[in-house]
Amino acid sequence: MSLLEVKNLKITFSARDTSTEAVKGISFRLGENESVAIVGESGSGKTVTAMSLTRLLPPPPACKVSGEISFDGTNIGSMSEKDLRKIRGRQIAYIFQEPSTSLNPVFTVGYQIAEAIRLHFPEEKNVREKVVESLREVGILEPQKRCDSYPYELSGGMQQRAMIAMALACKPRLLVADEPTTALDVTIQKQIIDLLKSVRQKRRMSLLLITHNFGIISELCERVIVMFRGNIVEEGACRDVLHNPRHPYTRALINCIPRLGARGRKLEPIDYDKL
Amino acid sequence: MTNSETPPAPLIKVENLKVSYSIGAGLFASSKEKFNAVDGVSFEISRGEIVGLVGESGSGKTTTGRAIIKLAPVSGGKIFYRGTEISSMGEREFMPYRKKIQMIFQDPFNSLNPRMDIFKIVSEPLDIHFRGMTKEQKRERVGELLETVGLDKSHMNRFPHEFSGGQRQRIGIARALAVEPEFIICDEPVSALDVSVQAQIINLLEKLRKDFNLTLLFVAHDIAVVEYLSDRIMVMTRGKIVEQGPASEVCEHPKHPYTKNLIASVPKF
Repeated sequence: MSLLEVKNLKITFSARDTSTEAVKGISFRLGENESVAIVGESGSGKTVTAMSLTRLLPPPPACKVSGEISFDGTNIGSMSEKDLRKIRGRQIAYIFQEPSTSLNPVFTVGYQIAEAIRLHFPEEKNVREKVVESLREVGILEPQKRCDSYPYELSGGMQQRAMIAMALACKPRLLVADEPTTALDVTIQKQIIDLLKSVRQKRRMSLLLITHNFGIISELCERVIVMFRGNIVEEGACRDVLHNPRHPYTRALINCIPRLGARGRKLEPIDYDKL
Repeated sequence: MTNSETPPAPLIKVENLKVSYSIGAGLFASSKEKFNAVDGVSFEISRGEIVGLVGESGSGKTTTGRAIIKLAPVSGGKIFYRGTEISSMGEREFMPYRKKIQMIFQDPFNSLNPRMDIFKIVSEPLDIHFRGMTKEQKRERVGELLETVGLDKSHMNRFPHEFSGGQRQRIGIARALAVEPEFIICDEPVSALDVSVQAQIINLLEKLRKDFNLTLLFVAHDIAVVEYLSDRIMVMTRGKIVEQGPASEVCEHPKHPYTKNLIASVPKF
């Protein structure tokens, strides 16, 4: 049985006199210990899809979600807020794009990680020890010391590591990484990808990677889902989609990535009129 | 004439540039320590060239770019523009050079004033450097600029929040082009954008270079983007340039271990 199953998911945002359908009825599934990427540009609906998995979107009437999302056999849509809180962070954890805005600037990193542990493991005695251990796991040097650092004292890469430590501290079964490396330098991006890869292997955790960059998925994911204007246009094994894209949009998205040693090959921006 | 034998002076020449910031200084305590963000950097850029400056965050690449137009304090070394030293000039003397050297910033969300409409944003440099222009002339010029960067004339009455990231970056480029500069410093102009929009902006910069014979210093952390656009690449880390050469040479046969590391970090598929 798959860990996560999404059926005919529709997400509509309403303003005073207009409504926008951001996700137009998509279905996909994610197995236990499987890693899947959702790729698309801004506005394709990939982030709101990720957020709907634990009902993080604003309540109606501003935003209407329909369809069925089931996690490990239970329907997320019909859950009470209280039960949902047991899923958020504990079963499904998130890493967001911009580490500097998702960390609270007035609390130490250690405090923020401890908060998650205290909520989900109230019986835990050695919270600090757990925090230090989780920081060590994500490769932060001198975790005892860094535990008491404020976010501004850490570089962007270290902040993202701290976010990952926070997400992993409660041993979730599914990690949703929403553009985890977009705000980072390429060298740091590589480090974060390698980190996610090793954590996934060690923990046997499922991963849903949301990104606009086709370049980073092949190392991390087995399957890829391509989204365009709220629909899934292509789905398949990473290797097949990357080397043999069938949908013109997928092809266009791959062609506009600059690659090393490909000078002279013209970069082709996406021609939306043709799609 | 003997003069014609010597090659023309490079557009920009930087000699042993140093930028240092004090660390640990308080309101009253003077600092004892200095941090060299840029630590003795020398390079030349000829007219019409696109030179890429790559390095990770903290390497001093942005500071180097900013020091050229006095947005960062120069604490040592010299900067020449067509053979004239500009690093020691006062603000008044430097003014004409501000017209010749323009800058495009990284984050199009923070570099446009949200309270100004696009006409105001793009025409502001004209108010300073082309004082004689009438309002009609300005409107015409702004419309022309917006069309050059692939936007519509009618967009000039809108405000920044009505535009997407890529469109905002185009507005930033139009503003830089407004005063007919010779040299543009592009500070990570595409890092905040989606890959598809990134390709549009890169192609736009390439086209503008051809149309206006512009010289660009292209600062970025992604060596794949830099290789695509640049004639020459300079690699910077810890305040120093560790390697420089023709783009294809640096990317195919990197010599310095840091360059090799940068190249290895580019995702492959």
